[in-house]
Amino acid sequence: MTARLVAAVVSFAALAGCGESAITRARLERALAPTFANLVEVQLLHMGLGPLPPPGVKAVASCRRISPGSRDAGAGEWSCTLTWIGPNRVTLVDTYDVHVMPGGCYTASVADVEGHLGGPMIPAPDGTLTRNLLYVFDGCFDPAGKVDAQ
Amino acid sequence: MTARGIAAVWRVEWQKLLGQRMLRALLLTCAFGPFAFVAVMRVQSALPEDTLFGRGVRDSGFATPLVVLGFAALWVLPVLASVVGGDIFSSEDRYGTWASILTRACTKAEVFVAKMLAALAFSTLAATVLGASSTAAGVLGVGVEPLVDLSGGLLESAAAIRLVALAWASALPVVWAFTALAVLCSVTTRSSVVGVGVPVVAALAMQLGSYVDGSETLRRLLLTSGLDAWHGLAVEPRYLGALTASVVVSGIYLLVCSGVAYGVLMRRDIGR
Repeated sequence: MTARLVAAVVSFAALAGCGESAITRARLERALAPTFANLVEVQLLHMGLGPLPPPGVKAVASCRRISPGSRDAGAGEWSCTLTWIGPNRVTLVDTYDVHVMPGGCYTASVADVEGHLGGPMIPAPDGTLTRNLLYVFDGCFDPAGKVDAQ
Repeated sequence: MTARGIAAVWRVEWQKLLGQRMLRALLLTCAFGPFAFVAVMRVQSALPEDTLFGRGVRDSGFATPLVVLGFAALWVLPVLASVVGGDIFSSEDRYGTWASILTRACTKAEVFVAKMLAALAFSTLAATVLGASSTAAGVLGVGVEPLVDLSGGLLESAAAIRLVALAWASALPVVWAFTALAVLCSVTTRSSVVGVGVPVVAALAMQLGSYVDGSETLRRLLLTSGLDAWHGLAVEPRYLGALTASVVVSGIYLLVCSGVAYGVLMRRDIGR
């Protein structure tokens, strides 16, 4: 029975591996940008600061896959650049290393630790240290979602 | 086959299950394990960062049940699902008690349905206790601060508790399907080791299969994909395709496994 099970799993893996990956650049970019923008707002809230004035964060993501194979599709390692409007209405650019799982969940980590997003903990205006939600964060998107039409 | 006959056998089977020291210990572990997890998280510096919501276990108590669900999906839920289902039929072979059961005023069909229901009830009870206790441990040990969801939004207590309840509820169809698989193994092989072991090994194999980057449709045919389907409830806007697929796939596994197990038991020459 164990041999049959192993054979079934190997066959399934071979069959599944032949299919096209559901992880695409468009899906990742459209998930990452609003998640980042939401986290900026939550981070400001945690630090006791008010929300950004209109038009808000206006984050836009641009991703490329850096794992071997396709540049535009597949689970694995990606690099994503986020362009957004910061608290002083200055346009900021930050890069994240993003590990994407086949199921559509990802972990985004700040690529430039010396950048202006800070480290894992950042000081609030009252001096207390708070977790930096933007340093590394998790998210998910629908791997079957109809979001590829540009 | 009558409902009265099924109920009579079910009562006996349920009493037998609750009388087993090992199963009582398992339920106690489900009830108190999450409190130990929260206590460890409070004293150690490292966080379970490789699990969704793991980074937030000290920020919001509602992260705890979701982290526990993420861990449990690997092998705990398959074990809870199969520990009774994988043994409830084969134990009668091991102790040679089929004949004594069937001398009572009940049929093989009634025994099958009642045992199946008892196995499903136990796995439901164990998963529910684990979900409820991990929620209680998180709320009591960490607090009811808002939870940051998987799209960066802030969920207040009511929305967060709803997410936790739905996430755990979404695991139940998968648990039932694994219970049916365990029953099938138990009936066909007459071995408790196979009955409990095969579903757990199958779950681990399916987890490995889900790491293959390819067709999403094929991935959703794996039972264990359903244990991740709640991720779609933790983002805004929600996506429910994976959850719907999980319910359908789990239902098919449940019906096929229990149907085949029923057919095998009916053909066996062990009495009425």
